[in-house]
Amino acid sequence: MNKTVSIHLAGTFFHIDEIAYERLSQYLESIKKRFTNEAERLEIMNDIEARIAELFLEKVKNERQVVNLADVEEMIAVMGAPEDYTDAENDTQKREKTYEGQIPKRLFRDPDSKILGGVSGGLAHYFGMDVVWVRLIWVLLVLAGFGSGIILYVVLWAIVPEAHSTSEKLAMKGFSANISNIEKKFKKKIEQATDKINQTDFSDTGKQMKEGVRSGLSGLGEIVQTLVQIVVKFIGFILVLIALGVLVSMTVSFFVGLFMNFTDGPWGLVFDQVTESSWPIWSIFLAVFLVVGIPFFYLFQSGLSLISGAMRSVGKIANLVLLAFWLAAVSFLIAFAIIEGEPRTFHAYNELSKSESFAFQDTLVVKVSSDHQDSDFAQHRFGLIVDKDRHVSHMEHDVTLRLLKSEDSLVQVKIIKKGYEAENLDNKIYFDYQIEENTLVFNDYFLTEIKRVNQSESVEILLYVPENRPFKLDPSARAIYRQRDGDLPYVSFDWYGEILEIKEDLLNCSTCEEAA
Amino acid sequence: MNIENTKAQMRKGVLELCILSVLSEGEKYASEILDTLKGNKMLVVEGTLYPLLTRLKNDNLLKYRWEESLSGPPRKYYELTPEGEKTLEELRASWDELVTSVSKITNKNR
Repeated sequence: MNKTVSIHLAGTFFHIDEIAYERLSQYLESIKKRFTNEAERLEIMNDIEARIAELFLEKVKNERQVVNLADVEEMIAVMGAPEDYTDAENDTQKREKTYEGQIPKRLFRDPDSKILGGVSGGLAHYFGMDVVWVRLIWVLLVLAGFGSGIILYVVLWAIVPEAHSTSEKLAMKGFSANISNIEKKFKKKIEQATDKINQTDFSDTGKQMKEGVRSGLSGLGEIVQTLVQIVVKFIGFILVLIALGVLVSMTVSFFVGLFMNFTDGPWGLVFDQVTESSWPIWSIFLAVFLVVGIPFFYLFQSGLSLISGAMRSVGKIANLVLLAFWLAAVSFLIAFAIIEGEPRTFHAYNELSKSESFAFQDTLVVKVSSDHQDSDFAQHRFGLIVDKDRHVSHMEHDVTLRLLKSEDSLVQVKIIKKGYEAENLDNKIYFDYQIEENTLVFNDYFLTEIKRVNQSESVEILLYVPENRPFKLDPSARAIYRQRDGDLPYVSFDWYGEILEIKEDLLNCSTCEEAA
Repeated sequence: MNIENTKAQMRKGVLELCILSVLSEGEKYASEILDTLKGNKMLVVEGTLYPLLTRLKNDNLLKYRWEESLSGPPRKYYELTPEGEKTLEELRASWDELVTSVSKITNKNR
C-alpha cells in the first residue's frame, strides 16, 4: 500500500505515489543546486518541469492514473542525471562529482528483511553490504566476544528505530546511492552509443585497442580508489566496534556498580575501608563514565563518518553540552583526587624503634616463619588478610634481618618500623615475633593498613648477639638476612643451620670446621 | 584522460550551432528541437538542452512566445532574433573552416 500525493507540474495535475514523489523531488532538488544564478534557475526549472509534465502525460492515460516510481525513473533516463544539466560554458568547474542533492543515509531497522529485529538488514543498507555478511559478522561477534555481541544487538534493537514510512525506507536504503548508479548507467549508455559511432567513423582497430588500454588504465585507478574506500570503511567499522564495545561495557558496569551492594562479600570489607570518603560512590562512577565515555562517543561518531563518507554530528548545541559535561567531570575527578589524596600523601619519612633484651641460656636459634596463623579467611591472595574483627590489612614483605654484636651479655632484638606516616607508626604497621624457649621466630611479613596510598613501609630487625654466645641461623632466615655497614661479617650460604659464635668482631663456625 | 568526457565536450561545443541551425528553419518548441538533436545523436539526454536555451535567450540570440497546448502544459516556442541569425552565420562559417582544417590534419595523419 502506498500513499498518493497530488502535485502540479507546469500547471498540470498529477497523482503520484509517495515513493515516486520522494524520488522526483529529490531529482529536481539536485538539478536546482546546479544553477547558481537565481533568475536563470527559476526559468530553467520551469522549462524542465514543463518537459517532465509532457513526459508524464505520455505515460498517464487518464486523470485517475497514478505516476509511479518506474515512470519517474524512465523520465530521469530521458532527461539525464543531474550532472548532465550543465551548460557548456560553466561546465568545467562542475565536472567533479557533486552529490549535493542526496538524502543523508540514516540507520533504520529494516522490517522487510528481519529475522529478529531487522537490525542486520538496516546495517546492511547503511554500510552497503549484503545482509548475509552482516549476519555472519554478528555470529562471529557472539562467538568471539563471549556473548557481548548479544548485548550489542539488543542495544541496537532498542535504540535504532524501525523504518515505517516510505520516506524512512528511502532514507534507510539511501537513494543517494541510486543517483550515482544512474550516473554510472548513463556513462555506460554513452559508451555504447559512442562505440557504435566509433565503429562507423574509424574502422581502424588499432585506435580501438589504444582506447581499450586507456579505459583499462582508468579502470585500474577506479579499483585503487575503491580499495582505499574499502580500507577507510573498514577502519571506520573497527572504530565503531571498539567505541560501541567500550560504551556498552561502561554503561553496563555503571549500572551494575550503582545497584550492586559492595559491602556484601569479602570484598565489601576492603571496599568500605578504602572508600571511607564522604563522596557518594555513584558520583565518582558517573564522572569516570563521562570522562572516558564522551571521547569514545566521538570515536564512535568519527567511525560512522568514515563509513558513510559524510560528516556526522550530533549538532553544535549537543557538542557544547557534551564538552561542558566532560570538563565538569574532569574537574570533579581532579578535585576528588586532591581532596581525598591529600591526607594520604605528603608525610615525612618516619622511623620508630623498639628494643627488647633476653638472656638465653642455651644455643639461640633464629627462625623465620611465613605462615599467617590468625587469618580468618585463610587467603594470602592479593596480599590481603582479614582478621577476627573482620578488619582487612595488607601483607607487606619488606622485612630485613641484620646481625650485630651486642655490647653486653644479653641478646637484644630491635625492631625498626619505617614509613611515611606522621604519627602512630606503631599502630599502622603490625609486626611481631615469638620466643619459644631458646628460639626466636620472626615473620617474613608485616601487616599494614590498606588505606594509605604512599606507603613504602618497611621493617628492619636488628639482632644483637653477645660475644662467645653460640647461636644458629635456621635456613628459613636466608630470605630476609641482609648485611649492612657496621654489621657482623656476612653469613655465608652454607653456614645456615650450623652453630656460630662471635669471636671479637668476627664470626666463627664451630661445627663447619668439623664437617670440613 | 577520460575519452567520454572529450567526446561530450566536442559535441557540446557545437551544440549551440546546432540549436541555432535547427531554429533557422522556423520557430520550434523544446521537444521539437530535442527530436532533431536526439535523432542525429547530438544529445543523449534532454537535460542538457534547457540551461543552454536559457543562456542563448539571455544572450539575445533567441526569443520565445507562449502557446497553449491541447495535450499538456503551455509550450515555449523559440525563434531566432536578428542577432541570433547573425551569430548563426558566423558560427556556420567558423564551423566550415574548422571542418576543413580538422579533416586536413586528421586525413594527413591517418
